[in-house]
Amino acid sequence: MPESPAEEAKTQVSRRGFMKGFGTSVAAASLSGGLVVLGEQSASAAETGPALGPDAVPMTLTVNGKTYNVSAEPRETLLEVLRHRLDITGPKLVCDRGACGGCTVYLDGRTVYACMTLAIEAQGREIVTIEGLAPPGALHPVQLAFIEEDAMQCGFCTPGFVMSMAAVLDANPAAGQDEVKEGIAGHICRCGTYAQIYKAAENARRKMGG
Amino acid sequence: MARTVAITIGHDGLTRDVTISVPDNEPAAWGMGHEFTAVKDKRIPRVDALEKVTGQAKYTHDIHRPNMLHAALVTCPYAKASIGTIDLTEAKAMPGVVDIRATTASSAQYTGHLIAVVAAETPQQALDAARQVQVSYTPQAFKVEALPEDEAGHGGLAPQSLQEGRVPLMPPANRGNVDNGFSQADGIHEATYETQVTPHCTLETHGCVVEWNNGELTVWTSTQGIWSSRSACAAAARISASLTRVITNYMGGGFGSKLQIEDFFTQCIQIAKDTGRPVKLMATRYEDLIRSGNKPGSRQTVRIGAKNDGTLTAIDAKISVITGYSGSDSYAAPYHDGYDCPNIRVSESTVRLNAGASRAFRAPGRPQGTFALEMAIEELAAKLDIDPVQLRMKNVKTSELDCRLHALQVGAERFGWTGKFTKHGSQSGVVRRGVGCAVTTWPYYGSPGAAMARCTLFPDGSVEIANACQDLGTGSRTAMAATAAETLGIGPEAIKILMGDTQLGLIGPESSGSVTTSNVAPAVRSAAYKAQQRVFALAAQQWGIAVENVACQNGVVYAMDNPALAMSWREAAALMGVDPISATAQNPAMPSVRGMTLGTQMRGAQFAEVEVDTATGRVRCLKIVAVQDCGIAMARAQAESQICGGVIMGVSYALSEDRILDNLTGRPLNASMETGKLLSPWQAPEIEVVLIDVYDPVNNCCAKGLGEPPHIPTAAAVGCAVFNALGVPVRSLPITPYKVLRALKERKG
Repeated sequence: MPESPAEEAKTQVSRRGFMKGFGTSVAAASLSGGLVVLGEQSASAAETGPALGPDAVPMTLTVNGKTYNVSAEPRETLLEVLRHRLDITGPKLVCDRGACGGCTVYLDGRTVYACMTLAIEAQGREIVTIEGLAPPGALHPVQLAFIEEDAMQCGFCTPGFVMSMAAVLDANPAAGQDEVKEGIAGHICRCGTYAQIYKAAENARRKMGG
Repeated sequence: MARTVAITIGHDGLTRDVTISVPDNEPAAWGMGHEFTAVKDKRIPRVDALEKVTGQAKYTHDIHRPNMLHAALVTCPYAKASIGTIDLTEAKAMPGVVDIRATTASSAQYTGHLIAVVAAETPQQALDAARQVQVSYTPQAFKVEALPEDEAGHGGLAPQSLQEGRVPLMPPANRGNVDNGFSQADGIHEATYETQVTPHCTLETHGCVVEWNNGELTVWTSTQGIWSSRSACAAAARISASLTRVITNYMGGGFGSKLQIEDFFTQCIQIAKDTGRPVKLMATRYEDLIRSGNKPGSRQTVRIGAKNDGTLTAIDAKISVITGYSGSDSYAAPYHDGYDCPNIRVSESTVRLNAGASRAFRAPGRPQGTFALEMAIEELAAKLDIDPVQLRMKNVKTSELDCRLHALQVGAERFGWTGKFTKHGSQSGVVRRGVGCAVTTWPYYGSPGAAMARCTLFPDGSVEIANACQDLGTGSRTAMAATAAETLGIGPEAIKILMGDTQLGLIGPESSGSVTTSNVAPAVRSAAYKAQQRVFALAAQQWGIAVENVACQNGVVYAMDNPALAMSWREAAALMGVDPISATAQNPAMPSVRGMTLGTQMRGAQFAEVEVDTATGRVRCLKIVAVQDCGIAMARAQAESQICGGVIMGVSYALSEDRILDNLTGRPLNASMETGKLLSPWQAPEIEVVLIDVYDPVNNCCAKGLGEPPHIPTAAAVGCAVFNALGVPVRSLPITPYKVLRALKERKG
């Protein structure tokens, strides 16, 4: 155990550090669907590559079709790099631990919490944020439906909700209300716009021919 | 000079024809029968919806300034402690650290108390360095849990160590004689009810970006009052308010918690001044949940009596308001203005704890008082074997501007109360349905002169409306656009709205107490009216008729007595030549109507249907019918959204939200969004909104505000419905599975 906060910092074990070390094993666990012994996995992960950090390292990220060369610390989350280093602020920092969906982005077409994803792991993958959901000057049917049904108040949770609902309906334009419910279950709106958000889902489904 | 205008006021079922005196240069209030084109039942898209769905809306969280420093907080981990030395040596040596400001306070009163602000080049560096600030604390004795009533005495909550912290509140205006009232009662019910403490949990945390330029200060902050923040920031910076600018273009929720600047603004302003660099500090989620306010809790012992026919004879309540290390509240109002009982006595005291301070929370005091009062009424109705909605109807008077009875009638019909209500506890089976009802009352706080608006009409027919208020996300921008469109007789799409920046120079109220629309909309209407009158004068001159004869509707300017004289709004606007026409107005003084009090309280009622699983104790809220009076809605779609939002927050309050403190250490145990349990989408009930239009000419729009009222009765209605389903009351919020099972077990004995 570290003897003081200073000692604790020197060991460089923080939540971010933990995520970095165990990122591979968590991914493996979810892919295989089986149990993984975390200690073994992280040890082997550490042996396979050179140690990076704690200082900033160069990274290349593809966001909304554009390539960015950026210098960031290996522990920085994708959300932090998007917001602080690239000034892409559509994804919001709200809970900072995967509990509210405000930071939702696509990674290779799948929704992820950007606050729970390390930027360094997003290299070589297609990152899409709310800013890139539709071509410039156009709106995704889900965005249009949110406007028409007034499915927002303060709007802070809106980018996240839109991304998740668009993902559900893009995959299956005929997705039923239960499927939409499941798709947005990881989101929180404090203003309480859920009724309008469900109406927006119906509206978007009609627009998308589902 | 003034003119006399005849209008019809009131609501469906109870109206009155009156005359009001209106100054010649002001528009008259809309009366019943007016054909609306943009407000009331019309729906227009939210003015800033596009920015919000595309991620382009820039909140304070999203502001990046060149060369900006990022700051982080150091806060006290103990509920109460004295502060010894604060050693910054190691922290200052951390990479990227630029400046650290530590407190000079000698004691900390709650977990989260400000110790230091650390500014560094990156957010990560600031957080790293904040962890290296060495503070020698001496933890002190504290108490976080109140004693049960039977141990501390009637109405008492505070254990010995907190007695000195009890602060008596102003005695409410009691009426009648409760002892006489109870002697007339055929049935009396008495019980104690509890409500929890819960944080606001605004999705955008509290914070600021501050920047100095040539001795002037600019502050971007997520605030419900840019004008009050301007003064507060100027005081913190020790400069005059005139050299301070506050900007809130978009904000991610307030709910009462953003009516003051945070303590750490002072350090951010100092660091920015001394380093010459902008500073940004947005609280972390944990800090926000423990530091930035909460809805105070309560213990309320209610004694209530009625005659066999349901007529209330007396209400006696002893209330303890449970706040934090500071903050106060009163829950007396619903007891006094909910029902027309002749004998009422309410006494209150405040309990203070070493925990985060309470702040105003959407309808301060009302949801708490309403929960206890309505539960007591529900239990009394069961005791007297009266339909609880009938009992409520029996105890509300009605008038043209007081739609309580109408709201109960309309709500009961929409909800299908008669078909759904069965006697309390008459159901059997594992899963049981229940229905409940509660009323809501919120005062009208319109204040003439509190808001200014400017209307600028351009020669190309476009319109700019400016007011330097803030839009919390409630739809204030949209309400302003709709009000201007209705006044001018043109479509809202031609109207540009400016707000959220003190540099506009047009004062506006703090958005608290449901006052934004009721103050700003009348100012907008007055300004638009005055500007358009000048365009009408040009048209009248061209046509050779009197200006009083000119009107505009659906984008056409015409002579009222000669339809042959007409031109498009654009053609009329072109008459002004090259210079735009602009008028500025304040929300005007209220008229008087003989024999009537205008600006009465907003009323409403909600009906809830729940399903309770008696095996697991889980409660699901299936449906809420929300009947609400807000005068007239300026922006219908957004008004309905706001009502639904108040309901959702109310269901969340009823069933899941709860701030939990550790009994041994006083530390918050669930200050995160995964453990704070806000209602999620899959728990949302079906909501039916019924707006009752009440034509109250207290201002030229009959606009009376909507932020608070729909949040007030929801938890009470849900609580009554759970009692109806089970036949045994759960007298404590939130109604968790544990409490449901405990209540069922106690009944079985």
